[in-house]
Amino acid sequence: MNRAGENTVKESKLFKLGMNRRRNIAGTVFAMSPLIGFFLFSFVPMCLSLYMSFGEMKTFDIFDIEMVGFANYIHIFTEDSLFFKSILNSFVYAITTVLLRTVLALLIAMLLRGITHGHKLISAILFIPFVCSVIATSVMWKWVFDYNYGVLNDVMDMLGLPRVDWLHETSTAMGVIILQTVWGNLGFGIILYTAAFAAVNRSYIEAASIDGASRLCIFFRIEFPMVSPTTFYLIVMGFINALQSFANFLVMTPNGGPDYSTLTMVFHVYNSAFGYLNFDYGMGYASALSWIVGIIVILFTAANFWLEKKWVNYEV
Amino acid sequence: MKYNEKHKVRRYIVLAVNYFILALFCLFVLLPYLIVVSTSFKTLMESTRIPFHFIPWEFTVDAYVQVLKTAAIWRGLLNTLIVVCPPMFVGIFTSSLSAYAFSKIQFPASKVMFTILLMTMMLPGVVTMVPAYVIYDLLGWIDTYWPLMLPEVFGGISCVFYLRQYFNGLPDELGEAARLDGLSYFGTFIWIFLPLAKPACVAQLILWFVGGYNNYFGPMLYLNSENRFTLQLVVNLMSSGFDNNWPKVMAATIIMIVPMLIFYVTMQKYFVEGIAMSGLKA
Repeated sequence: MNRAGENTVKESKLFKLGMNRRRNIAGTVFAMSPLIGFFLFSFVPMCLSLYMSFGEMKTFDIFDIEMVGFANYIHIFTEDSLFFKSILNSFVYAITTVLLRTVLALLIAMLLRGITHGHKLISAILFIPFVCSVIATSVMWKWVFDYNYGVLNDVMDMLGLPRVDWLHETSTAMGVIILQTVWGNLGFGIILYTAAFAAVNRSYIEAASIDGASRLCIFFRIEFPMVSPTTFYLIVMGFINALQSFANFLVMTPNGGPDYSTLTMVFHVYNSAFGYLNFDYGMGYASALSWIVGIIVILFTAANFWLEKKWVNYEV
Repeated sequence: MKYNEKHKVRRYIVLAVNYFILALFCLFVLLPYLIVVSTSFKTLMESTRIPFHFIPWEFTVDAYVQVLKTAAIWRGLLNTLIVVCPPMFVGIFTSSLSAYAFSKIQFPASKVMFTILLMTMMLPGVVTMVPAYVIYDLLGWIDTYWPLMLPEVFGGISCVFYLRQYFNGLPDELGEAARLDGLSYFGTFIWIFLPLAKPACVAQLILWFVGGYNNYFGPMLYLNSENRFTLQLVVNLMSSGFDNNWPKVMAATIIMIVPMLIFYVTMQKYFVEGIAMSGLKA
């Protein structure tokens, strides 16, 4: 009797152990695939990249590598003037586009709250560029800013101003791409802000307005703090993307624009590895460059997260 | 009474100003499209007339006919579908399986694995661009579809986050009941949770497809032969040609974006939900 009881306990324990093991195996195996993908297609290449960054390669062949120590890194900081230029360009681009996009999206989301009809239609229109590829939008903007046939130069004519070769002039090329980016990303921010505003508890606002708070005061003291997680997300994700963006630059201004005024950090990496600079620099140099760029992006992201504590409010 | 009247007038003015500013923004967004559409319906001669005029004098669909008769466009479309669709379906499946495990199965490594996934999202992708090419070159995968398809099969990390969030909203009891009835963990996923997560999966499929269809950088980097080009590369090649047949380039651009626009208009709800949720979870 006693023994039998013990046995059942033992058996049920074993059964439970088997159940647990099955659960653990199932969970781990099912959850594994994105991690395998990351390991194969990101982690392994990153290790290889670190190795390559200490070597010189004249071809794409990994076995044709000559180890040169820190020479690539030293070259980046001492002789590569394009590197510093590309950092500056990337930051100008990232700061302007992210700020403009965030402020405009917030403004439009506020305006959308204040209207009675057509809310859906307007946000649908503003979102359209988001589903269009970089090729499509670049064809459009190149056409608008074309020196000979562009609409903008017609407007300049009408105003009696001289025609400008927008995409081939140092002072304007970056501006055109910034405008294109803000235009293309407005809808994204608007959707996020609209969703965030919908989640704001109306009773706070009503209470404040009964107490006599002005519209502006309500915005800055209640609404803006309440959507601050969305603002933070837009800024951080915006920076991570903008600091690394270059496909639009490549299509709009091949090779980095007039006097490299639109050469971004990643564009410089691309040019060193695959572009016309490949003959001078090669894959080893490009790898070293990509690590420096990666570290800059990570540091900047970390700085954003550090600043987050100062102004983002997660209590809704 | 008087106060009310004044109040009403003020409200109407505010409303009008709101509409006016929003209309300006809409115009700003639509203007490039209108210009391109207008050019695409012009003749070659008329398209280079200065100054620009919106309504074509000689309305013609020649450019569209020309583009649609180009074999490269159709081959490009087919190539795009081949590259994007199969890995997309597999990728959504693996993503949702992984999301289900993170949400509904309590296994010890769950926390660690999820944290690693979170961190990978913060890693800058630029670092993998150069070595990945070297590896694909070593494997002989350059100018094939493997580098574009294979990484997708393992699922997207943001997709996993989104779907996990969705699974979190479904009651755990469903899975427990199915388990008691003798279904395996995999069976519970296939028969109980996957059908329930259909709206979320559809939302992710749409975003995935649009992303894949619009992808330019990957195909540009890995594909060399023109008969393997995706639609984006074909149109890019057309637009950077030397003949500068503007109406044709514009028509090709319009033809390229129309499927996405139709997609967007009919599935707007999914787009908005998919994007709004990705932002709110942060």
